[in-house]
Amino acid sequence: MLEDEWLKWKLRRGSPEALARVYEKYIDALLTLAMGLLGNRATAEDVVQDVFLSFARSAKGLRSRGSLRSYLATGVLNRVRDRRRQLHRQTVSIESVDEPVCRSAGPDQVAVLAEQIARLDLAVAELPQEQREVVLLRLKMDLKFRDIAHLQQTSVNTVLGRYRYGVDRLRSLLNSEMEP
Amino acid sequence: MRSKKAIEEAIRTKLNHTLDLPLRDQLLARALREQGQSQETEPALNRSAIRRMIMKNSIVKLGIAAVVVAVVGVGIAEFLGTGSTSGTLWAQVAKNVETSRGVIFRARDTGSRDPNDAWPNGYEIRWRSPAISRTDKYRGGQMYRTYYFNYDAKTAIALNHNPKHCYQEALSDERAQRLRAEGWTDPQGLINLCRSVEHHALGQKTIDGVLCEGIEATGPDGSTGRLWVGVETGYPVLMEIEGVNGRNVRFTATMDQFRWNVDLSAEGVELSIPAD
Repeated sequence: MLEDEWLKWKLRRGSPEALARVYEKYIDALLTLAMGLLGNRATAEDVVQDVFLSFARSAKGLRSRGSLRSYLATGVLNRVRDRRRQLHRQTVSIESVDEPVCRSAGPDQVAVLAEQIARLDLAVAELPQEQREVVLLRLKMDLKFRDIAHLQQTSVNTVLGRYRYGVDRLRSLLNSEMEP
Repeated sequence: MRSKKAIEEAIRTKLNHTLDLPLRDQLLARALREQGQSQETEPALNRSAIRRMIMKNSIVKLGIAAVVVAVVGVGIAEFLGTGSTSGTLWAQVAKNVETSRGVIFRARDTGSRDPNDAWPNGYEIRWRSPAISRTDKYRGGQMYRTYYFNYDAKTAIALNHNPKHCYQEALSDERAQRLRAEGWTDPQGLINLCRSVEHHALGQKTIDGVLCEGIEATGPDGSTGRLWVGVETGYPVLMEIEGVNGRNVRFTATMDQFRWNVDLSAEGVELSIPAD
């Protein structure tokens, strides 16, 4: 995207405005990705903070090639993997899912949206880790399958299979519950 | 039974978590601080080396005026030797942009499907001058966030309007100086961007009653950027970027409603922090 190329150019020159724009553009998607991978809000927030602060420190050395979106998603993925190595896998329950905030919704919609998000969180948490990564990187970060394959160090066909199985599993989990 | 497509759409559009406001602003403030510190700790040797390199470069010695002219160099190059009067227009645009005291314009974009996406009900009003950069973000007609950088006062401010949160950050002398020196029009970046992609002239058309001349650049990923300038005024009127992302979702960014050569102080650009 031209805007991201422009932002990278400005970041290499230390533009705080560009950093603020990248933050606004990606921070919630990164949090959603981390939440989906970890199933724990506090840890997800820690991960996103680590990623973004590290990004701010190193933005001046950004390479001109490669997508900003992929760069940030990779940061989240690597830190999530580090955390998972350090901690036992945490299971998510409906009680542990923090109430999501949707600032574009009116007060009467918030409760419905929060429940929908909680159900989606629970369903995503049911997926095996590799499938979860593929589904979230594809649907929340818009990464190409070949980029995801690179991140997972596997073939594109394997990634496509993980995606297909993951979405099928979500479909079976959500079908009886979800609102249209 | 929900289809596979419906499940994908639900994950894309409904599974969204957002950082709560206090943390959101604290993290941005910390990130801005980290960004500033990382640049201030850059080894002095590197800076000297860069400066030596710059001073030896005859192109850079031509000064900022030549660089700003090159902002629309792509446009000029299109018409040189063709006998067209358009080259004169683009040269005038370069001069106008360079000497403009300040500019205010509207920016909109779409494509992320984020619930906080500005489109279609939101937009930004951006104020730019050699000394000040301000961005007001609107949703549903209400201003909800402002970013403000004053390079004279060496201040950076992020302000949430409802609920009210304010974070203020001091810019070091060096950082404020460097930001100012880079030039508010970011000419080199535009040159690099334009020259890295294919481009061609679009001819003339009327936009909001103003006769304009345009140029279009195409990126390696197929995304396109178009710049339209007023034939009579010699100022940019409309900039558009559009393309398709990796998920085949079309995205657009539009900058319009330009007011060039305005005194931003007279327009009330200064950001006053509410007492509460």
